[in-house]
Amino acid sequence: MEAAVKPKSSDNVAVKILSLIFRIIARIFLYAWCLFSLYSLYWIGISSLKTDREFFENAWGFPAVAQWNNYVAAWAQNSLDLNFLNSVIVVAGSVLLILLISTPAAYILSRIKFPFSNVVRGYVIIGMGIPVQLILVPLYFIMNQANLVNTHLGLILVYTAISLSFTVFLEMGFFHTLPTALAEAAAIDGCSPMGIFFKIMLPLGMPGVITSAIFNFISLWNEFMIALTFLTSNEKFTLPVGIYALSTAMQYIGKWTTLMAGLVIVIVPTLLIYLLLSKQIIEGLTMGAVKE
Amino acid sequence: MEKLRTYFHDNRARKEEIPMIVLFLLPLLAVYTYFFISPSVQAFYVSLNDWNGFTANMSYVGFKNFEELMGDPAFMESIRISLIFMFGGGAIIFGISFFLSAMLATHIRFKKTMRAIIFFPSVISCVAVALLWNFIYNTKWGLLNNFLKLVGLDQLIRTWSSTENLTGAMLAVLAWTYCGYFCVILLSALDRVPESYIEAAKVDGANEVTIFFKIKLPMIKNIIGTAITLWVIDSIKEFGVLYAWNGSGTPPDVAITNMAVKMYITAFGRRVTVFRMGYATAMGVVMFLFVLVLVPIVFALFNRDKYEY
Repeated sequence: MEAAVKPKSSDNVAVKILSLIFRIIARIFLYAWCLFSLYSLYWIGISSLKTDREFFENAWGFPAVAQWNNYVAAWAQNSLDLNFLNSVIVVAGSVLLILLISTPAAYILSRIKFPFSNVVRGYVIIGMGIPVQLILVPLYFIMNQANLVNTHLGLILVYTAISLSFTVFLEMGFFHTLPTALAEAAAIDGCSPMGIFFKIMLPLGMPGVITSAIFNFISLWNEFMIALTFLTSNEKFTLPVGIYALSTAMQYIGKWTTLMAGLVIVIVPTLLIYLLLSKQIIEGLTMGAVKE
Repeated sequence: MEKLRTYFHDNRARKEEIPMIVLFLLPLLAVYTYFFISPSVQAFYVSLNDWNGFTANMSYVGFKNFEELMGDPAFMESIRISLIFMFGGGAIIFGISFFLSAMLATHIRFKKTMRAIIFFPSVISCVAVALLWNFIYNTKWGLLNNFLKLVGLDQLIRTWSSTENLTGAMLAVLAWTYCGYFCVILLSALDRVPESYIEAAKVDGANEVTIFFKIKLPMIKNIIGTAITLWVIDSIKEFGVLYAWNGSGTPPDVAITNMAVKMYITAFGRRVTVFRMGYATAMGVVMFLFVLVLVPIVFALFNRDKYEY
């Protein structure tokens, strides 16, 4: 009896020590991961203020004098200002159109049953599983026929089309969780179905709409492949394509610091939105993926 | 009143709602069908044709494009790369995400700050990620080799961007970009596991590692399934970081040419364009087939015996 108990208690000590060691290593890994991510951002920032010589000779160090000229070079001389403006136009246009189209539809699909409503829902959601590469070539020719290649309007339409599935899915999750009591009361008071949507459900669902807007803003601001495919001239490029073109040019002439300034310009808007709204973004992510 | 109750409790459409239903759904269905579903369907037809894209006439060749794909060593290599990213990258990403989320799901200090830091690489442009990691991996003055020299691990210094090392090096890039996203998804699920279950296990003498594997993990199984589904689709589509890796001067190294990159180069790539639209679209169809086969498998594995709580 005693013999059977003893090894167990020493086992327990071993387990405790092992678990302590494991926990310490786990902590170190967690902190190292966070530190690395923060450092990478800091490094881009600091490098964008160096001279090219400092950049090569001292990759870790601090610039002697902050070279704000790098930003001027990236912004004005290498047309990132124009690319930035293009990005704002395309992304703002797309996000507006996406919300305008998807919000009423998500409301209907999440709250009202009609014949084949399940089929329509499935039809809309299935787009989330189609790789964009499948549609790229046929889409190019649809766009070409409509003279929409190398136009911002064309890019807005494509961005809208590829974002609808996810947005409707996300917004359906929000509308689904809204309480019905207010809508019921309004219906008893003789409010029309349209009135119920615009006066009650839409204001209630606003957090969902805003979360969708943030998500679409971030993913479209960073979108690269489709912009690369459908924009063919420098003055139409959005920022990711502009930076991509800049990276080649700067590598040839060795102006890495200008490129670093360009990186800061493309990173800052999404990062700023993220810093201001990270709670909403993370909760929205939860909403989309972690559904009952 | 009776009518109203039926409406709100089983949500069936009433007559006066029909115009609204049509009006609200029509724009969605029109744009989505014209710019997304219709090209998806056309893709299957295009993949059965030989077409250079310059002329209107395609010539129907049946499954010849697919037969050629199967015998194309470059495409086979791109499938291999895609699968390395999906399975190797997936193992690393989910390993790390589980690890990080498991730690953040306990009562740890600075939880929200660390969660925010871990997530932020997901909001950065893929072109910026590619350039950043290019600097990290640069042989001469890159941060990684500099760091290894600094801590005295000189024997680990290598040419990270060479063809034999790049596939593996890229897994680290993908891990850095995606871990935050999956960590947050898993964390939010873990945080919803009722505290009472965990307390009960603690009373029975379970430690945190046991609690994680025996209680928390099984309870979030269906969300793990959702996360893996998202990864399967994302990893097949992965393009930006890989294509932007070397800048536009040279085509991407074969070590990081997955199906998505191969497809793009075949159809549109600026330096090495082949302009074989039918052939490229056949690659897109193969990518879609991968999703079509793998996603139901993930579902079958993870959505059985869901825990209700």
